[in-house]
Amino acid sequence: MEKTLEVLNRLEVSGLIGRYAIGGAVAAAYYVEPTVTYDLDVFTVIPGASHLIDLSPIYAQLKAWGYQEQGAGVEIEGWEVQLLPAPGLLEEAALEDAIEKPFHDVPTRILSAEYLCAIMLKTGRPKDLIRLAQFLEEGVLNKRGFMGILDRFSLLGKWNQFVLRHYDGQEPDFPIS
Amino acid sequence: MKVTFEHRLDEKKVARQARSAQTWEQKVCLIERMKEQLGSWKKPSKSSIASKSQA
Repeated sequence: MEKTLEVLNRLEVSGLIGRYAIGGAVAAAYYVEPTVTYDLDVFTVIPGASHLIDLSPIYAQLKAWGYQEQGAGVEIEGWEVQLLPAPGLLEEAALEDAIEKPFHDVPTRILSAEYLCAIMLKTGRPKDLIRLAQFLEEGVLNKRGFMGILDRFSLLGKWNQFVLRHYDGQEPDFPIS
Repeated sequence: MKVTFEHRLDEKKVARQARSAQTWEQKVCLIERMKEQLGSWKKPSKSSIASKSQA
């Protein structure tokens, strides 16, 4: 994955993408037991974009570097990279809060566990909720930080539904700090 | 993709390694290995899903 990250860093230096951070299953693997994935989800901001986001200049540059579109993303050095322009305030805050975490010697960032889980809760697909339960069960979430994010981004209702459905309404234990 | 007994053994081995992997780099390496194992299975593209649903 080092080469993939080097390409992303080149994109960031070129200014075609702004600050970026890894999310999805690859970021989750930093915190919990890994699960198979074909995608590398990359949250980013597109400089100068307003409501209409145009990824074509990025794709054109990647094509010039020899990388082709594949599925919903671009195949870069063995990974299907999905560039996800931050779709809302939660994702923008998650990007700002992303952690610098070099992969081997390649600088990169990943979303914090708390923001990653808040995004999983917001997205709400079955696989996201399973992964959220995995974070809770492996005890890697900071409760105060996580609940603060849920409150700030109006996700407490979804949290209560999740607790009701997956934990019979009994809020799971997780570390408080 | 035909799943053989050897595949199952390999999956169990990878699962054991996944539990013992400590660093992010080790875990990503395992994900890459899992991808290789499942190499012949490809996630369907959106266009192929659309054409199937229209069929």
